[in-house]
Amino acid sequence: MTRWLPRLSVAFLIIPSLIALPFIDTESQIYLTIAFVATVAFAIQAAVSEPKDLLIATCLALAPIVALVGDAAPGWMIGPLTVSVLVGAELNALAWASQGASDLDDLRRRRLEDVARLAAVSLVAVAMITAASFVGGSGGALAWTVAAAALVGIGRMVFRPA
Amino acid sequence: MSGTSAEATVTLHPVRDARLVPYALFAFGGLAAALLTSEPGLVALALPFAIALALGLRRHGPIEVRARVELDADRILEGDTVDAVVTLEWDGEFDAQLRLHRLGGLAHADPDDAGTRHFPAARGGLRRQLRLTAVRWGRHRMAEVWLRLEAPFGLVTWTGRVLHGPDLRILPGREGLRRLLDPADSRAVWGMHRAHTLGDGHEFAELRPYGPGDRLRDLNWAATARRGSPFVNRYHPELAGEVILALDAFADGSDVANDALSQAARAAWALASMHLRANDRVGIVGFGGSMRWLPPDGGRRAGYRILETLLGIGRDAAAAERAPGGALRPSIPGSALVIAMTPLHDPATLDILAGWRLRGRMVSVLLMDASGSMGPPADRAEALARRIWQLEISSRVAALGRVGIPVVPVPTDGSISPAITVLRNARRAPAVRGVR
Repeated sequence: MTRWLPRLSVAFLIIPSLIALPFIDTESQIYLTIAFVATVAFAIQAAVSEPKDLLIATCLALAPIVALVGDAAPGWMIGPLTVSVLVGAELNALAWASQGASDLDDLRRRRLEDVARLAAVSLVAVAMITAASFVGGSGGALAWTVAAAALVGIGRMVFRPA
Repeated sequence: MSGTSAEATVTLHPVRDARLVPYALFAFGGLAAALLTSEPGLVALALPFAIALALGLRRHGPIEVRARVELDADRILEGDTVDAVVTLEWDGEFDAQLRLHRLGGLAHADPDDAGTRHFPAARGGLRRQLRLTAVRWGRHRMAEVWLRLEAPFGLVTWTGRVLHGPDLRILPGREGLRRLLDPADSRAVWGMHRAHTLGDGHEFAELRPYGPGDRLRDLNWAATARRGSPFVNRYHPELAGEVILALDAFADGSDVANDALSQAARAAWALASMHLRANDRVGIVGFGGSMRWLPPDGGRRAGYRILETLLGIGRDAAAAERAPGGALRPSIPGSALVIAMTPLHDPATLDILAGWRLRGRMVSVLLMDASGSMGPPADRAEALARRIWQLEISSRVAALGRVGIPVVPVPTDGSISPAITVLRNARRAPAVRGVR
């Protein structure tokens, strides 16, 4: 049953590239197509090989989404596509942890539920940011404020004493 | 039977998951870029990773774990089971994975218990009961307890060995024996063995004419009546002897070598128990993987010492350790009978046994054959390899025979009583007697 996990993780990592590619200008498309092929290769490698390294696969998966920023493409796509990459990375890690298991045990099933919760929370957050930037009209100021607040919050979380 | 336990408090340090670095990079990088450009798209790009990072690092400091392992016995026989309770305590809620590694002469009684066990959302700790079977004799440290903790949404894990289990003595299984081997020369102490000399005893030796000082109760009336002059019976006295049990502890970690060593241990303990009961002095020497020497001694205390030495040899073999004293030269008494238990896998064994024989010691060999545990050969090449190996063992047996060491194979089922009977007959045969 756990055999579908690596496939699903690879799918979540590459689908954003497939969706984003048509909205990117033709000049960049060739480079991002090459990045897409590399994303597939590194996502598969990250799901099954040791030592595990997610950095390259996620960087390559995010490249087409970054290309959407500030472009003529619809801005609301960036959040959901990023969440898709995040879910792909989470499933990738879960697939690796479940290697050799024929079935999802309680622990893995719980982690799968955690991935779903994380995706839901992230979707709500990006939806709120996107909606606020569209409705309020002062998207730049809002983005600056949220980024500053998030940086401070994350910084305190990461660098607080253990 | 008293139980035993071990406990420890350890601090597990966090190890980062493969997701931590990319998440941190995208979260901090995206937010910093959004701060510089005031671009909402970059916030949307960074925010999911920032949320994952914040949830994943809610707990990222070292964790103190208090661990305890309890066994309901501190010594058991091979084949017996022992109940173990593993108790682990920590602060907070974690998904825990528990694994017992290096069981040290034990195996899980229930195969489902083997491997890693998962405990989702274990708050404050866990308690696990196990039933273990003793599979290999020796003095062992029971199991390493390994723990892996993951916090929900965690991007770090805490993994480490939290405890080394308590010492457990696994005694060799019982092997029934009804007969003893006679030592080379008996001591001047009453015992079970017929002496070569004549004296007070019960076993008839010869008839001779009556002489001054002979006891009237020794008169043989039938012979006296036939000969017309008084004849008396002469007897062999029954005296105690010295026996040295030599255990070939060479083990290469294979099942065959381990089975042979287990057989040898059972045989050694059976022989030691029987000879000690017969008032003999028994010593033990381990060679091969482990060089240990216990000079011959008698009585109950000697039995305990022999068992301790035997367990030490077993532990060295199980741990594939070479105990100090590789060049040890045991001073085997000239009057002692050396009974070596060996599979003859190591050619160095031949040199050791032949060396003792050439120094005038009486040596007998019980050949431990555990090849039955190998199962049928997988192909022709393996069958041929086994035949070649059997020929090599046969040539080693012949080499020992040439220096006057009788070798009797022990059946693959490990019962040594028939082998002892054969060995008694072999040692009493003229050819064997001639090399004394």
